[in-house]
Amino acid sequence: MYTHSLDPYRPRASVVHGLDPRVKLGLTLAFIVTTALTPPGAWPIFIVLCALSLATTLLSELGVGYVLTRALLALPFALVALPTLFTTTGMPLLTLPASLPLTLTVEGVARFAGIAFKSWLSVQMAVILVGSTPFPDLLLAMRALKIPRLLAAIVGLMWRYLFVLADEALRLLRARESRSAAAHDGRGRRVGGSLIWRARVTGGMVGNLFLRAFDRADRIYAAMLARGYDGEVRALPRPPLRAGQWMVLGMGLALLTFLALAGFLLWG
Amino acid sequence: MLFSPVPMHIPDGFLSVGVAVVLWLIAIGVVGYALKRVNADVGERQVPLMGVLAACIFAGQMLNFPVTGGTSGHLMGAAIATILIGPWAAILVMTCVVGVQALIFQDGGLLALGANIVNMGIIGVAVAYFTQRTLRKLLGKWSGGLFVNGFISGWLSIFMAALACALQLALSGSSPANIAIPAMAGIHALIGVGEGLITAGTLVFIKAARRDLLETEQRQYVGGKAVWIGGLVIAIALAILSPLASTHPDGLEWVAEQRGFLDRAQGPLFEIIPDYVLPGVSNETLATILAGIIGALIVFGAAVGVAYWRRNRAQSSGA
Amino acid sequence: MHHTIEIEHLSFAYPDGRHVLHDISLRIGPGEKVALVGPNGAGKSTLLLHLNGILTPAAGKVRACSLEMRKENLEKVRAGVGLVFQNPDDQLFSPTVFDDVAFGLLYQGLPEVEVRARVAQALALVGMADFAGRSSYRLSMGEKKRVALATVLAMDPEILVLDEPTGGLDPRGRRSFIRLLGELPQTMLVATHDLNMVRELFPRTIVLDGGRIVADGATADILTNASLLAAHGLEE
Repeated sequence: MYTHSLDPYRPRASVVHGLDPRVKLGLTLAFIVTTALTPPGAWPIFIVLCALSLATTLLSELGVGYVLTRALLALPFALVALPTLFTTTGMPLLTLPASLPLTLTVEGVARFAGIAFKSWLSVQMAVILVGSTPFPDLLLAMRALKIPRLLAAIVGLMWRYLFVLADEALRLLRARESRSAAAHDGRGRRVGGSLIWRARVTGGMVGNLFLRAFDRADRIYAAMLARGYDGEVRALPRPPLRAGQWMVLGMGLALLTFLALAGFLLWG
Repeated sequence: MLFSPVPMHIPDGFLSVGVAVVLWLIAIGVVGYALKRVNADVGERQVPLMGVLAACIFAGQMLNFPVTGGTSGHLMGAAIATILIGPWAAILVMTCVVGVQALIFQDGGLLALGANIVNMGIIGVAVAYFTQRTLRKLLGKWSGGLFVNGFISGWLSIFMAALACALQLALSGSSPANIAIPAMAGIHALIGVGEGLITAGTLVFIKAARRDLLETEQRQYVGGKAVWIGGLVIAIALAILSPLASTHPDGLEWVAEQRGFLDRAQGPLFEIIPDYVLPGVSNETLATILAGIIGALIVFGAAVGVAYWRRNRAQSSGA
Repeated sequence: MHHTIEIEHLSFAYPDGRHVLHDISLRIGPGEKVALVGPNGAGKSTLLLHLNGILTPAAGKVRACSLEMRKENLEKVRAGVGLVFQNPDDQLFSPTVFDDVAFGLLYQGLPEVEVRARVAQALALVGMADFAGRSSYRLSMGEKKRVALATVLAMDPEILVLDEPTGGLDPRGRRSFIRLLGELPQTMLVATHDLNMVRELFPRTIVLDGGRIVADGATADILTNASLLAAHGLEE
């Protein structure tokens, strides 16, 4: 079966894959909120959250390596929090040589670690969510969360044409590269010339993409009209949640609420 | 290659809950109003167009080109979207782009999504719209006007969004203002050059090929004045706030705390490393050790439980 | 009359002033299978878009299923005329195959049970019953073409209008798609470059060039008229 490299969904027969997408989305959001609410000092709560995320990773059968690798993609952003290592006042841990008037503090390390850890926990769960849920199911779950219908329709169309357009973009890139190999383009100008010129080439590629998008939107609109589209976005009613799924949702939410409360009461 | 083309998508964990919630509320309010406007103003024809444009902006972010010193020019797309379909529809398109990046590609967090929508969707579009309308009046029919307009609106939309992002991080205590603001401003002043050049190049290309698409440029949008003023106010506020905040790195947090923006959960950040105290256990050292053991047991138990359960399952399905 | 297409003196120009169709008149009776051939840019696709009211004629009349193209009729016309576009990527715009086939049915206001039953039926008819939950982008070209056909078959149309149904298919995909088309009972008007398929499936052929009908008659006569084919860029 053809799977686009951009699509994060990995089909497996796991319990996590089998959960209703609404339950999964709800629990993932609750997990992220709980993580955010947990005070930085509440390490026991973090350990439990970490255990939950580890257990979910294993249950999802996506592979610990896969989930970790994808979760690491969000790591570079941690750079913006690095200065907190040195600027947070507190017990000095390490002072850099005199040339660099920086002092690493215990509090700074704790703060940075807290931020990075929270971030990692959240990304981890999100990776499992999209790895175990095909996009149409996620869209259904978003609609269940009362995302406005127009936005859901735009997101649905966006997803459908993302791959088509991403492939077009890659073809354009390839075409640019194959021509850049020559020292001169057709009009005898140096390739890789001035910044403005490079911007024009890239602008041309993006413009190309946009023009095709406009034409395609026209054709899609015609295809929608041909099947009776009247401007109102319609969808079948969502199937009701089964009792077992309600229970998973309820128990998950109860556990996360308990963790959030415990963190808040004991360490807040 | 695709991920985080613009280092401006805030992941979860970097914003305090208070800041994240306030920005979510702003995002919901503005996007809700934009939905209303789009439903009222533009034809049903716009639905497929907005969907395909959102996909297009996403795909366009894959096309980059080297600017200088290892940085490359990328596309955020707010300025192009604004000029092609008007501010309200552009806000919706950018919201969908940022939303899908967060949900599907973990490019930006979910709790932080409100902030990212505000920065890249609302601020990016409002600033671009303000710049475009103003410059069009100033530059008139000059032939290079479109290029200059595209460049400046693209650059400014990125730059302002980056300032807003830095302020939010500083306000959350994730990065000191006197470092975050100049750093973000510096990096994005450079990245913005890429955005500006691509935006300008794209507009020039579109004008040459399909002039009619840019005729919407001349159209006055209902409620466009509000966006224009919004863009102006945002630009001025950020321009004043950012240097102020960066000269008083701790002042920002102090203000935030005084106003109660930062919730109580943020408080312990400034205290000594937490003591693991269990209720009912008086000896602190003992309690700390106990807590550590309990934590380790939970993790261990969960892992073993899952592994055991999976093995049973595999056996029963294999039989 | 039902199941018929009637066009009288149709002319059409795009807003930018390009004249695409000049004085087209034709009648296709119930159950007839007609091929529409002609070089690129002859106006084939533009003509097809008139058949369920997506484009409005500058002059002349178009009737399908004995309904005039008027605003109040459009809903019925669009249910009666199934239009399959050239590029299935334009026709399949929903997240899943199921959603795409159900799209038209939702706008017919059918109850959910009926929608599900009809989707299943249409997908089974084109041999794609197992693909309902798939995303369209994961399908091969041949599979996409089949699903695109199912999206209109589900609406139970009287008339099928297809644009380049075999374009972009490999030989095997083309063969099985032709077999599928041959089994369908609807009145058919099919724009195509595939003259072998025309010979096989369509007793009648209309040749369009420069926005005018230059020939209309039995396929056997037209496809053996070498000078006619050569004059309109249709040699094989």
